[in-house]
Parts: sequence; structure tokens; C-alpha cells
Amino acid sequence: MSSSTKFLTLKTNDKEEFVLDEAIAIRSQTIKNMVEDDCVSNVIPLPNVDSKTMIKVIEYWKKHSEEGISKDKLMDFDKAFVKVDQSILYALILAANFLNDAEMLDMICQEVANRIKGKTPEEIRKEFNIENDFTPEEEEEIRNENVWAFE
Amino acid sequence: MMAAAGGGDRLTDLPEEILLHILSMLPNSRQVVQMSVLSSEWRFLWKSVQASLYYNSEVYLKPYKKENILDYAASVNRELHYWRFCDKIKSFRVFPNSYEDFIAHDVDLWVHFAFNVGKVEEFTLKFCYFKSLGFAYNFPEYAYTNTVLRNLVLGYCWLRPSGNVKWSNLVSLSIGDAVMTEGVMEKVLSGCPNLECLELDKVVACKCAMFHIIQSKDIGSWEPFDPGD
Repeated sequence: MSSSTKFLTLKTNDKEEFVLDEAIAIRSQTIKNMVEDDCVSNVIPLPNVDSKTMIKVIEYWKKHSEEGISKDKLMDFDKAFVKVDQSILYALILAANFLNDAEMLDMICQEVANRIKGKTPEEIRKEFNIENDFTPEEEEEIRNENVWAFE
Repeated sequence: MMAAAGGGDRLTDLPEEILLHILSMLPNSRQVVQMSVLSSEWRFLWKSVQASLYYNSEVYLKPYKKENILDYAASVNRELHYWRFCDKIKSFRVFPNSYEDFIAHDVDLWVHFAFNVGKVEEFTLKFCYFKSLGFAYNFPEYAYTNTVLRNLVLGYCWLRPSGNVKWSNLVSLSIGDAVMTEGVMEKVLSGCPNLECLELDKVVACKCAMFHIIQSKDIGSWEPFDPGD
């Protein structure tokens, strides 16, 4: 590594610290802005991200920053990366949103969309634990409003 | 309550802008609307989704019969009726068979939706062939002014603007199987200051060899071919 490599320390909301190459950390537009505005002192606090999620984020950043990695390999990595419980997906979405990493956010949102795709409303409710707070009459009414979409 | 059991409904808890982003990734616009019955929080969300409206005509147009074409047009119209209040439409794509008297009104409606109503970013209007060279859809004059559209794909249409063209946001333009009169291409290009990609496929000039290519950034060369031979 050249002497110009700079490191940043990121501190998650459960007080874990992660030391990371600046070149990798600025995949986050939020961190990049902070670096560019020169408001980085020693430690960058990430109040919206926990350490468990941050470990996954860094795993993603490192893989996507690898020099000369093939597109196929990245695709395989991404595929495996999103094969996780919903709760982890949501945490990653919120982290990617806060860190402002559009690429990662898109990829994970796409995974959620894939899990919705082609399912009936009943199946979606079951899969995502969504409580139906409509009475049967109300639900019938909504279906009738947009009957074209339910044919 | 049941939902509390498996860790609760965390999907619905995501910020609305993210839910909208996820919904915009669903390839079937009907499924986006179906989400309205999930729960009260989902009821009106679909109206803010940047939907992709893609109307494949294949199932309708085989065999080629007037009723089938009318069915296709009716199904498109019905959906547009529901999407007309959306904030923005990501893309709207229609593929009618050929331009016919009996769907003239429908085509007008689609173009009106794309250019005036729906705040559409991507519009595709591709007929499959000309019924006859003398009878093609002639783009209406109002459609030459639009500030929302980013991508426009046209097939078997006529472009004959009498006034100026002003497609100020257009980044990509693709025209296939068209006949253009003198000066139209220049007019179109000079009305698209942000154009980055121009695709012409079998575009015929009414008078040959009168094209002066107007230079715009990254636009490759294109060659009109002589309809006389």
C-alpha cells in the first residue's frame, strides 16, 4: 500500500469501531461528502447503523472495490449476499439509504421486489407478515374500485 | 394478533420513498395496484409509484382481426384511465399492429397521455407495419413540445412538425421505419439540446441526399438511403 492510503474510523450505534480504507468508505456518498467538506475528525459516527449490519455493508464494499474482479463473480457474490432473512434485508436497506449508496440500495430493493413478484396479495401478506386491517367488506370495495388489476 | 408473531411487519415500516422504489421495480403494473388491498397503509401507495406500463400486443393480435385490435386498444385505455392521476410514469410502451381508421382515436389518446397527461419519461409507440405508405400515424403538433420525456421510441410513424420541435429533456431518440420530408431531421435535432443517443433504422427521405447533419454531442453518423432505387 502506498503511504497515501488514508484510513477512516467508522463508529456504529452500538459503539463498535471499524477502520476502513478511505477509498472504500467513500462508496458511501454520505461519508464522501463529509470527507470532501473536511468535517471528518477522527471518528465518523453512524448513528443509524448497527455493527452487525455494518459488517455486511463492508463485506459488500470490499468485494465491489476489488480490482479486476469479473462481472460474473460480482453477480454471484450479489446473489449470495441477498440470500438472507428479511430482517437483515431491511437493516441493509436502511443502512444503504443512510449511507447513500445507491447501487447497494437498488440491489437490495430489487431483491425485495423479487420476493413480491408474481405473488397474490394473500401470499404477500403471509410472506411479509402484513396484518390485514380491512374488514372483508372494505377489502371487497377496494378490489371493486380497481377491478381491472385483479382480473 | 397474528402479525406480531414473526417479528412484526417490518416491510411496511420502511420509509415511504423506499417502498415506492421497491414497487416501481415490479414488472407488472397490475401487481402494483394489487398491493392496495394488503392493509390500510398500502391502500393509496400505488398512486405515487413511478410505474412502467408495458402493453404487449402479441396475445391480442394473433390472429389479426379487427376485434382483437380493438380489444387490445380497449385494454390499454382502461389501464391508462386508472394511471392518469399518477405523479409520474416511468415508461409507457404500446405496440399496435398497424395504423387503422378504427383505432385512430385510441392512438390519439395514448399520445395525449404520454405527452400531456401522464408525465411519462419513456414513451414507445411502435406499429408493426404500414398498412399503406400513404396512411400512417401523423404525430400531432402539440407532441413536438415536451419537457418531461427522456426516451422516445417510434416505429412506423410520420414526423411532420410544422412549427418548432422542443424536446428539451430528451436524451435518447429512436426512429424506425419512417418517411421524413426535407428539413424534419434538422428540426428535430435542433429541438433536442440534450440528445445523447440517436438511432435511426430504415428512415427514408422523401427527397434524397438533402440531409445536413446537425452536430450534437455523441451522435454518430447516419446515412439516409435513396428511396429512388
